[in-house]
Amino acid sequence: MNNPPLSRITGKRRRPSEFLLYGLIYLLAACLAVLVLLLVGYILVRGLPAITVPFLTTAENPILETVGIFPSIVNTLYIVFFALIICVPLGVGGAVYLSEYAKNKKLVGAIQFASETLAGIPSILYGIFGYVFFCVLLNLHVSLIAGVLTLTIMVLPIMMRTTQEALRAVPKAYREGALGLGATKWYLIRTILIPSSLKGILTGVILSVGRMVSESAALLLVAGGSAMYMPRGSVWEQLSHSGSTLSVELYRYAMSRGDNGTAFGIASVLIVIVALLNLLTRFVAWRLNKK
Amino acid sequence: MNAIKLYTKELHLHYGEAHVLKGIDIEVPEHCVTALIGPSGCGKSTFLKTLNRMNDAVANVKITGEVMLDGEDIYAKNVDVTALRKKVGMVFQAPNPFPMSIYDNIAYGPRIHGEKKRIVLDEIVEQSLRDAAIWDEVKDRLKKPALGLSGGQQQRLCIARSLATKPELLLMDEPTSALDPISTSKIEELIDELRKSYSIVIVTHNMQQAARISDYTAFFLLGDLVELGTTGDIFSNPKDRRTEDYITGRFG
Amino acid sequence: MTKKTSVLSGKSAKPLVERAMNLIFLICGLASVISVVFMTVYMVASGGAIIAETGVLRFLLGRIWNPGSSEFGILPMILASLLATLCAVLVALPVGVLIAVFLAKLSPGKLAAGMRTFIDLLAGIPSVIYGLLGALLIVPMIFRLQKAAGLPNGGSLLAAILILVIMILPTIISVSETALRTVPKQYEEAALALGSTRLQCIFKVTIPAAKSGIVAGMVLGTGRAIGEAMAVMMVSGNAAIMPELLRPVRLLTAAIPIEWAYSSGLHRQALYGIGLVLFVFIMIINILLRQIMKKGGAHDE
Repeated sequence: MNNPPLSRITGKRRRPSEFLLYGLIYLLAACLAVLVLLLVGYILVRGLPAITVPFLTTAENPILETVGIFPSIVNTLYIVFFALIICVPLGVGGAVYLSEYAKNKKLVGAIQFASETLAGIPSILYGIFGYVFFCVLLNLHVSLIAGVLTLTIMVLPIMMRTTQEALRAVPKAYREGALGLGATKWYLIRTILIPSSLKGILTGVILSVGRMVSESAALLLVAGGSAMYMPRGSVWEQLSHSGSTLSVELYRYAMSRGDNGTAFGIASVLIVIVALLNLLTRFVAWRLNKK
Repeated sequence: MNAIKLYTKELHLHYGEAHVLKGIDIEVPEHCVTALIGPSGCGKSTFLKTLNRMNDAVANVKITGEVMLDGEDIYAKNVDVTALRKKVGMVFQAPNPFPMSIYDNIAYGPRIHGEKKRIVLDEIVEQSLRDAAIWDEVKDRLKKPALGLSGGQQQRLCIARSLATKPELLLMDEPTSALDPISTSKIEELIDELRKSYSIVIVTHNMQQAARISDYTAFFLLGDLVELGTTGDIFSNPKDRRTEDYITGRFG
Repeated sequence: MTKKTSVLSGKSAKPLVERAMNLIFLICGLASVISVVFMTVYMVASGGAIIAETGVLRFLLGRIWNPGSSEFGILPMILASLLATLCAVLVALPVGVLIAVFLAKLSPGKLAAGMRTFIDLLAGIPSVIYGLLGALLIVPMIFRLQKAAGLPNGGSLLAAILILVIMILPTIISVSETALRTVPKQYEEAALALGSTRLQCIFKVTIPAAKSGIVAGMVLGTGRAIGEAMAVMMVSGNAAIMPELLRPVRLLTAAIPIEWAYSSGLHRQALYGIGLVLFVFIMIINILLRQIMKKGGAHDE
């Protein structure tokens, strides 16, 4: 058997089938990039003109026939803020339990499985559960607080997973060093483990915010679909009212009113938020890597 | 011979199915350096960690027998592990400073044990760093991150960090194995200095090091304590054939 | 005289704070388990009633959905959901894997990083926005096809499939990319050293070695597709009839929000029933995913 001359091996000629495959791969990648640019561009081109100061700072007025999304901005902030207050300690605590305390393998398996299951349940089912459990059974009615509690469970696995990954990255030597000096477990967690996993926790927070801002199906069922009125009264009173977030409001304008201009305006606001959150995750990763 | 600081009796350790320590009887005298030598996997590091109960957290570990420190059984029910580890300091194989400033590293131990006063902490930090012979190198950068120090400096910092809780017994687990020769000799000088005020147990895989710095040497093999004696005896006149084989380099 | 401090303590060995924190962390850890148990219980309890009343077979295999006359057959919706999911995954999987190959193996670092930014953005876009875009861009694109087939214009199964393809692509791409990246270099080096070309190496060595990860990405994408509600609702026309590619369909997920506001009594319970059916599908997918991950994990070791 004769080997082909080396010049043929090193020659850049490819077989035609390979050439096609290369072409296909590059084409698909290019298509994806173009698709993203087109989608985002289309949203911004149609949506940005709708964004004005009154659009962002007033409520809708059916008599004057003006539109404004201020109440849904407030509702979104409320839901995100209060859900984080509950979910961050719960998720971080759960992750700490898994990585630092739990010794029983079955229990660890059960918690892992539960967390993965929660992550896989679609939001419409969170909507049904939230309605049946929080709105009806706990008598919270269709309200922002029911939305807060429903979203808390929904983003819990995100918080847990990111924190767990961060804790896993903390060197074992830190733990040994601190325990060797007589630190108790809680002291070790407080002074070393949590500060060292801040990056992961922060990433979890940002991802959770993104998920909550995007959420619509569940909130439509548990928190209601209208943001005509500004929240009023004490914090608790405001939370017990129903109200829609930006995403739900988008759906309402697009589907039940056919007002696509306003819908694209809200879509642009949402796209900007999502893009900012993505940038923020990168910034956190970069900033804390440097340190 | 000095008074006995710590002794063990019939100390067994099982890790799952494995019988890692098979009835260790050893005496650690006060103000001396006791070296533990033996081939890797012989149980010397595991043994060291039983002396401040660092194996407690490991799953599937079962320990039986006695470890008596100043006449108290450290595996008794009413032992405060925090107080035990304050009294028995530990230095690890690889330097493991925490990701915080030099000052906070040293103050970490005293703060665990409730020291909050700035003046007291300042004093402890300075004293510990001086005792660990690193004060002059770091006194101008106490607020800088400890992770910026060289490997040898980090290890001396970790020794200072153990000293800051004012221990009486110091456990060192191959403290120089990750260091260059110059840093190693600095640490050895330091150990020589420390024996005046502390009792030291050091695990080392370097026999020259054991010969240089220790007063007593214990030879471990496959979970057994084969021989314990003064370093002079062990190295010049071992009683057990296996000790001689190991020291002369026939195996291990 | 040397000092000798005692290590014994009068108090119990573990201080109160320690034990309290242990308990608090345990409760946090159990939160997810408790949530899943509660969800299972309430999904079954709320959805089970209508199924018991109608009968499992009549509910699952009934072809007519007419809440007005209390006829609750969801077979058209089940088929529409399964069909939409299956087609979306069949399209998105090869596309996603090829793009993952591009990102993990072929593209220079900076280009891949830029692409990843795009893909993250795609993953983060809220589903209502996909719905809006689908209704205004994809649905009209299909008008001509519908005209050619002599069908009325409007939302369709095809539109739902296309929107789902775009929505699950980021999941499939990023999971596959991670799987491709974790294939040990030695495998590829061995293949290259034997004289295979770069692409032969990728398709004959790397992709088979990353199989379990890619399958996990596929299952994850399946879960996303079958659970997506808002976007498909906005493009699929929502007629509860047997699915055909160019005709309007109603998916299981979409049935819930579309009728939620004006449903009550038995009708509302029927929506709960649909939720339960969906829940069962999702649990099957979750368990499948876990098995795959386990196998993959064991394989890697």
